[in-house]
Amino acid sequence: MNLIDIHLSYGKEVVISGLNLHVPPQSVMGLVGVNGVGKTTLLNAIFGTKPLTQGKIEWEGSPLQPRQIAFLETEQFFYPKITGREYLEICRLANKKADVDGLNALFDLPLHKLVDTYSTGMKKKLAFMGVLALDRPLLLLDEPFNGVDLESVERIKLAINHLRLGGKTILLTSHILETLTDICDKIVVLVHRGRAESYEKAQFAELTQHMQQTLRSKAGAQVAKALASLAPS
Amino acid sequence: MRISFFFLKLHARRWYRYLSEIGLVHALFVLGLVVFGTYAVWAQVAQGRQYIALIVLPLLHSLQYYRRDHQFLVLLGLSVAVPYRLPYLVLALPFLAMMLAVGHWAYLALSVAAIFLLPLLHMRPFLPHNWFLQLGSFLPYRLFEWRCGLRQYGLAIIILWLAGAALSVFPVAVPIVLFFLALNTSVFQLMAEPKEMLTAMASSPGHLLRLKAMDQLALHALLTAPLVALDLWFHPQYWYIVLYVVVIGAVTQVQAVVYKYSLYRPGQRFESDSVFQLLVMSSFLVPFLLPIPFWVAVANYKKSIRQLTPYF
Repeated sequence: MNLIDIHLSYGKEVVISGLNLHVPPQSVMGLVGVNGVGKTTLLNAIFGTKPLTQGKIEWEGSPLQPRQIAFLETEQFFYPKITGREYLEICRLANKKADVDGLNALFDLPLHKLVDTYSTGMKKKLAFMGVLALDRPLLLLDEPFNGVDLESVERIKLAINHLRLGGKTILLTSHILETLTDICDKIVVLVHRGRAESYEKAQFAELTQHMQQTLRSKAGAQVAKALASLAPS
Repeated sequence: MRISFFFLKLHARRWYRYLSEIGLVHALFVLGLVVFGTYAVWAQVAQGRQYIALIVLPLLHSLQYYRRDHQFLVLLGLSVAVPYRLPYLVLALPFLAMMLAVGHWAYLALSVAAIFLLPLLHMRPFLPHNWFLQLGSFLPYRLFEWRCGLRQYGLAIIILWLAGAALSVFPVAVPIVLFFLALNTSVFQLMAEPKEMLTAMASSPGHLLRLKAMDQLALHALLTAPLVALDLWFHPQYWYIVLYVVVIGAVTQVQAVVYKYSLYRPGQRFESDSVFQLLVMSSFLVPFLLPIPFWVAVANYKKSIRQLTPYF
């Protein structure tokens, strides 16, 4: 997948300006960056729900189509008063070959129960299974590890690795750098307005060290300032 | 067709679960209300007022407007319209049957065309992103429900308001618009705020409920007052009709507040609130059900006090 000269904005506010990115086929690419830097906006643009101000997105040389993408959003939509099985049956409408019980071997969720009674992590796992059920060549996973227990994090990581070996291309975001360094072939750090710094697998140790040093030195001063404002005068 | 039937069955199961959850007595009450409401419409149609059957269109439009599954269906690569045509058709069947019974083919054709086109309506993405952010920003932060509500449902409210003003020369236009405006503003209370905001605003559950109810009433009055004035200007002889709808609107606003806090859980969203409000409001249209909205409001007020007490 190629993102060529991508520009994105909300009204007059420019979020991403002139981003170029190549996601190699059958690879896992991680996307990191502080809140609000444009990660989710970029994923929405790739999917097509956020119009590009300028630029183009190509998949194997042709314009990327939504039917080639399975997109796990940060916040998932579930109809009220439906069971987990019904949710996966809705996803099966897009791919009749999907096997609901086979998929559920991944997390063993109580599919007979209403989704309204699920915890945040269970909902995330259900949505992840829904994305797998679509069986599309490109997977966009926005914060797939948010709110998920440790065991399930490992299962998701294994599933992602398995999907890559099965020929899928995966672009995912996460705020937990370790989860990305474990599974990604490449990590892209989105900085300001879509300025991107790419790190290959061999550079991950350097990336981790760099992130920790930068963030701690910057955050230390800001935390001290914020807490000082709460102190009684 | 397979997808249409799948969604019809899915929604039927969801509604069955809603009814099971509220209990047999409440479920019977709700079903009775629906039957009486439909019968009341039929009584009007049979007396020659066929246009009353067209009430089904704004009702379906309300359902369509509050749909939140557009993005989800797009993600799955499914049509956003197909899953809803059959459910809308089934809901509209009694009204279509009325039109068929009295042989009003024009209304029947209009309704069928609307049912076909309605699921395609999804206007918000075509509007400038920041346009609605300005709406409501003049209100104090304390009135966050209205700030958010105007941003979320501002389009429907503006269209309704302008339609009411433009059509106010006709006797029934403003009362109908006021009815739907009351429904629209009552759903501003769909979302429960974090618990910290409760104690930041009031010193006790009773204080909070009074404050919220007064704010809701005042803002609703501010929004609807020009329309009421227009209606009284053009049709002073029907003052009692507009007064009646104003009372319905006021009770609905109070009801929205006490309903929200009677089920309050921090951050919770009340999905069925708009349907509940519509049912309670419909009680006003059936004379012997008149006490019900007042009774429900008082019962929910008491329940709200109990529900909120642990948070203070």
